[in-house]
Amino acid sequence: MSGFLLEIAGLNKVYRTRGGADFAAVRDVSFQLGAGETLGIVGESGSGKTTVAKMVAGMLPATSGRIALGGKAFGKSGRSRADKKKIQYIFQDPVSSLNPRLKVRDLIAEPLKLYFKLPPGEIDKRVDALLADVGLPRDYRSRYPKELSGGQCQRVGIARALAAEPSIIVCDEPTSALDMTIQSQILELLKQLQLQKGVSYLFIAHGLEVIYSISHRVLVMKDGEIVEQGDTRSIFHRPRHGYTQSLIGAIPRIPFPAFE
Amino acid sequence: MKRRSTPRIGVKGSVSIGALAAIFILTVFAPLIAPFDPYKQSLQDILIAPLSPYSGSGGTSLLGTDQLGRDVLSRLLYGGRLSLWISIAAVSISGVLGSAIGIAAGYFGGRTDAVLMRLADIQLSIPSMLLAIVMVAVLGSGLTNIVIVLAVTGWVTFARVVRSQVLSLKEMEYVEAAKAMGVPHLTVMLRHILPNTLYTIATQAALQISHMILLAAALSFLGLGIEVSTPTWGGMVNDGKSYIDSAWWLSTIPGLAIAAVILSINLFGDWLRDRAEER
Repeated sequence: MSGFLLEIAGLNKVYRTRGGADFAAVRDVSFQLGAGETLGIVGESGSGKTTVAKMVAGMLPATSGRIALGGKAFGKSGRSRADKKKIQYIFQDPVSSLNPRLKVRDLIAEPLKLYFKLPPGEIDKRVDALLADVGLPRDYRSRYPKELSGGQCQRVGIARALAAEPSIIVCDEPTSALDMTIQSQILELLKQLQLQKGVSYLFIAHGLEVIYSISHRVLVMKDGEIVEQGDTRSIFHRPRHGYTQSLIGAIPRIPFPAFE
Repeated sequence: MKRRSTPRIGVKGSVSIGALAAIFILTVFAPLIAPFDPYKQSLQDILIAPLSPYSGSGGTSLLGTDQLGRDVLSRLLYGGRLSLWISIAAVSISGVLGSAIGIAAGYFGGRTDAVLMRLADIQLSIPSMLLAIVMVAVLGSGLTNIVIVLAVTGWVTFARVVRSQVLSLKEMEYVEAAKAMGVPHLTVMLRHILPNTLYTIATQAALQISHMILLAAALSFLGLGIEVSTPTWGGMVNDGKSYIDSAWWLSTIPGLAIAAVILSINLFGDWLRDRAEER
């Protein structure tokens, strides 16, 4: 037994361009993700990290490569609903990832109805439990997304992902549209949920500062390729690649004024 | 302070909704409101001008009588009922059909989109009046056929407008999220796309109703509408045109009625669009 939940080997994504030259958005990406683990993927815009995330979640077809979950590789011709259930996605923009015409209750109930054959009463109970899990009051169930703040919308997005009871949640920059205090609250929530439910995260971010507190291991991408990977401590303390060093250098360090 | 729960209606909204409500009440309850039987002819009272007394029975004719002595006001009310009913039925059919085609074309894209939209282009290249005339000639006139003809000429507008909105909606993350979850296509379309196009569809429907009233009137005017003695607004304009020198009211009054309804519907459609943009 390999011991890894998710195994990615030789993943490529090539886009045909009009000029004839192919553009490789992702080149030969391989990594593993263990159960209950968080793997952070960092890189600048255009480094291919979101493309990797979308291919893992099955939202984009890979040009070539192997994606295997629990030892079983996904076929080329789309995934079954049972497979889709196991990998859920949290979006960057919490507001636009929620249908404005549906109430919070219906948004969270959608995966419940889709994946589990449940009686209506049971769905209601689970929605309430999920709202409690993500720290939203119960009466938010009958609100519309536009009545919630960005952070609250992201909590709904997390509840929707959790509702499927997935083994992996792909978090695509889930905090980059939120302000600083809300960011840390969402990160704390994600960490706490991981301890409770044992779910694995594939956590995408463009800066290292977000990754540090949540990831067990980090993977640094540049121009569609992995330039460095390792556990969080060694990446932060002994970065080998020049690009990683520049990312660490880019973390804002605020000199606090000294008070007596 | 109490918060206003309903959004402000504004001048445009209140005028158009008020006018439309009045027109609907007047025409729907035509049998109760109309002073005379719209089919009853009276040879003593031919071509009485509006606000003139009847010759025999006494009383005043509000909007005059036509060349057969039929009361214009009564015919106007009954005719309005028919004209509105026809256009609403036609718009409902073409709206459902056109929106379904537009959503399918926009959502699936590719070959489905190409085939459906070329079909729409083909129909759009034929003037709707010409198409309607040909269809009436083939199918024959009559109430049902007129509704079918109007519905067929109307679907293209719905399909094109809805498609263009679906093209932008399907890129929204919540649609992507639903697809990634494995929600079936039909559910994505009905649950995530259709509700977000409803404002557009409603606005389009309001504008189409006025278009249909005109088209139905034009068909009646050409004698391709419903049976001659049945009062319709277009038919009344047509009947009155030979008396335009001596009895101006015969064509003018139904013409004004058509204009008033279309004006208020367009105003209403405008208001709906404003509201959609506000959100």
